[in-house]
Amino acid sequence: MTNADPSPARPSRSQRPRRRVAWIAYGTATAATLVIWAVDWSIPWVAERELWLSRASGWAACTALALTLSMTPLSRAFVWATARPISGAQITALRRALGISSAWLALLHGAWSFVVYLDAAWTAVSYWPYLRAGLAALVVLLVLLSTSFAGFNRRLRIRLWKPLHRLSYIAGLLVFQHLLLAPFAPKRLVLGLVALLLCIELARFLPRRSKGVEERDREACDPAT
Amino acid sequence: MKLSPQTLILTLALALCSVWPTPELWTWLGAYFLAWLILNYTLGSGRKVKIEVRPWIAVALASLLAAPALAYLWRSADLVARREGLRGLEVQLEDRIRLETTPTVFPPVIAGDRPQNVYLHAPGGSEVALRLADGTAELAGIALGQDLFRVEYDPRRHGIPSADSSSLEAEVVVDGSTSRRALRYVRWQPHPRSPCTDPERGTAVVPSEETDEVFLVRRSGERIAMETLGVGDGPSGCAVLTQGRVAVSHRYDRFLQVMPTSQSEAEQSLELGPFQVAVAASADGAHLAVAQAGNRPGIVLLSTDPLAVVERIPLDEGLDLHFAGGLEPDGVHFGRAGADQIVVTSARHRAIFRLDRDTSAAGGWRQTELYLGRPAVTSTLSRDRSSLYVAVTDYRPDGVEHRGNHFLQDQILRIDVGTWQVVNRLLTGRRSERQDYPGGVDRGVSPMGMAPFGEDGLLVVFAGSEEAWLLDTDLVQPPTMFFRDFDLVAPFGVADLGGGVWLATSPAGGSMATYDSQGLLVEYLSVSPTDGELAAAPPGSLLRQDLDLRSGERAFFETTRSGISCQSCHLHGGTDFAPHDIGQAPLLHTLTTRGLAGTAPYLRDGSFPRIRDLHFDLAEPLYRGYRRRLENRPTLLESYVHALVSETNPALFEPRDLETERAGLQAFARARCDMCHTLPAFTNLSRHGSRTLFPEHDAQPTLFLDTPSLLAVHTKEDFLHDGRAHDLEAVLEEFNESNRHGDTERLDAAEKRALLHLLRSL
Repeated sequence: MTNADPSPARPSRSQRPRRRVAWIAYGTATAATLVIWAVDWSIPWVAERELWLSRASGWAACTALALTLSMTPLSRAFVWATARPISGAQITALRRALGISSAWLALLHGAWSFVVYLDAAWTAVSYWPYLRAGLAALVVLLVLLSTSFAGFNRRLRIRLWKPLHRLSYIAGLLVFQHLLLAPFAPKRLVLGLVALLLCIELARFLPRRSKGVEERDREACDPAT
Repeated sequence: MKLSPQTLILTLALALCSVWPTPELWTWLGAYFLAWLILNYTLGSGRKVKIEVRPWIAVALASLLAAPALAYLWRSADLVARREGLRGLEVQLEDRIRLETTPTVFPPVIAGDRPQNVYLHAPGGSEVALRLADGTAELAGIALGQDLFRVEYDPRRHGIPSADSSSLEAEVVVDGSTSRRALRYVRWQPHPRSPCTDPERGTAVVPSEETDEVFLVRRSGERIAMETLGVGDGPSGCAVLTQGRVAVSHRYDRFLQVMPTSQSEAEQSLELGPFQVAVAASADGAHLAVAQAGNRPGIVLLSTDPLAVVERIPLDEGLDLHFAGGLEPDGVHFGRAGADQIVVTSARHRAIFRLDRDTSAAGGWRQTELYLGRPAVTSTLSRDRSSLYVAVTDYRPDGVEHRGNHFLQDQILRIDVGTWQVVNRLLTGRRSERQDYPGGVDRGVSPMGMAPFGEDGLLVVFAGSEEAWLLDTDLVQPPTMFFRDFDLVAPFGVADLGGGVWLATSPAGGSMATYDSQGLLVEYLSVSPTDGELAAAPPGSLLRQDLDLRSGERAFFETTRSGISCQSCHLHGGTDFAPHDIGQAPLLHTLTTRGLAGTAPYLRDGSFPRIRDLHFDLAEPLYRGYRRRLENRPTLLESYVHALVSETNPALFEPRDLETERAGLQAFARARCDMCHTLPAFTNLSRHGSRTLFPEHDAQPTLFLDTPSLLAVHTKEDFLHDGRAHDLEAVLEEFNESNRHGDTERLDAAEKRALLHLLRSL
């Protein structure tokens, strides 16, 4: 989601590891969704069941987004700490897969909450700030999702791809607002996670460890490769 | 200098923001996206975007585009915060995090003037204790199940914190491991309130409920003397007997005390049980009537010589009332027929009652109700006991409330005790030459104390406008107003000291004063440190907090220019139990201001993140502000309101049925009430869609409701946000049709009974 990823029909040998990590991410997201659904069916009271699915899918989307945003600084911190090169392409692929997963999970969360928990009350969504923030985050994530496919981007003539995908940080902020104001979100956990994420983001400012590693990293991140 | 596309997008987005009329996060996001669209499809048409300009031009251009936008954003930051639900968020987060940090202690305020329950939530704990501070005993927690423990703290039995600090570092001991929790400790200064008097002897007695003492004021010719006497817990009222003795009723003590005013006589006491809320003496001094609230409300009729109970008149059965349930008294007087006629006031029922002894063979007491529509703020009898004067904030005998928005009309009613009819009314709130704002009501606001004066006078003190009036007993002649700036802040009580001298009290100021018939000060009697002494105390000390509480209490009583004060509806810091039109379709009963600390946001829909916001959003724009300038008024008011702890539950004085309480808490968890009414505060401090909870009732999708705390729910008059449920049973059964307000369908009858028992005991 935060970088372009051309997707040819058949993956080359060098692209296979990227596909593997991406499918791991998609698989995990799907498994999480299934687990959430399974737990949901075991809850006897309908109001709690509705709430559980809404909350759990929201947290899953939020976790995926947080991981997306922390992929780059984490990889940089890893390289800085170990002086070992890391496959930038795999990181990019994982980040993209996580971003796409977060958008789908957010869509699931938003649709379920809107239709079931809010009884499709559009006025409630537009009236209450935490719902508005959630909707704004969802819209941003969906825009980023739709521009995460190279072919589609070419058709849309998207040139300024990176400034658009920097909106993922705005989506993160909107999710933070959504969680701060949401009735059931535990505030200690929310603040703790955001503090952790901010600490991770600080790793972006770490000096690059060595020229060789840096070059390999840059090379791996280049969509042209 | 090269400008990157990102810089261009940001600058253009800022410029777009500044021309958008409504500042919202949506618009900022939209502006960014629009700027991106413009640049993506104009600049980025096939070539790499590179704009090269001279540095000074670049800086000037960016500043020109961004400066108005930044200024606009800066100016509208508060508006954006309000629209985005971020205003006062820090207070809400603080309260939420306090509840999420286990082991949790609730409420976060400990009062040194009354017994109270403290709830502890310690997941996994089996033995829990609370050590408040040095000077207090360790309090063992009573396990209620679901990891909830109750601690019963009585300052008189368990001691008060010895440190001179308003914040406590309480220790919660869970199975031997200790955690510290910050709590607020409130110790009130003396609050002399409603005096009782014997004008012939020149004696007045003034109880101070917060400090368990009474002040004895004596006039001897021109000289005024005062002494302080210690009494039981929570002296709520007093009556001077003809023999020169004083009867003192207690709210939290089981005994009625009869004290001599001279050293030669011995003190007497009689066990009546707690929640004696008022006491009156008959004209001949032979009888006393004690009004008792609590779980078994009634009037206790006593003989004074010897001191003994003659009869107990229950008020919880056999009365034909406007409302279901018993009559909860808060005031009592003897009528003209001595011990055969008793007048009872009840704020909860917004009515007064006359009880007449039935002299027929059937015996018992006949009751006659006089419905007022608003509670009696204060009441007094004329010298000959033929007239009863009652101060109210409106008079609606037909029970149909005024639909005027925020309608209040302070007035004094004269009621003929014989015919039990209102014979005259005097509207007190009025304008004067003092007004500094068009239509400002600055006289006769919040009459709090009344007393007969001389042969044909009636003294009234006004807490809202801080003044005193002398009226004729027929309420016909224009009042004599004591126009000078009154010496007492928020005057509350008044009494005739005889010899043309009268006494007024000020609980907020911790002082009293005597005046002559011209309203000139005779003697100022201070029973607590002066403002200067309190201000000299170090920050964080109890004395310094006392100064804030004093200022906040005065602000609570003080009238706005519209003639409304906080006290007008939140009677005595609580509620007037009356429905009001506050700009919403249904009439809504006044919420209590007690027990609010640590429960942000406030009001039914949680629309006020902080108490202080009521000043900014209500008192200033709607009520037109105050005449008196007071720095930090909003925060002082908030400090005072947060210091008001919940009403003490009568269950605290009775044997507990722990098994039923535990079964009730189990049912509470089984019905998943704890999802929103989270332990130990019995609220998760969040708002939930009304339509989600009550789809069969509420069609309005934008109505979100603040989860109310269930602590002190026994004091409530009606339930659910629009008061449609008149008891807790109706909340569980009748008004939970779709079974979304708790899974109450899972509970059998026994579980529901246990749950109701638990709720009433909180």
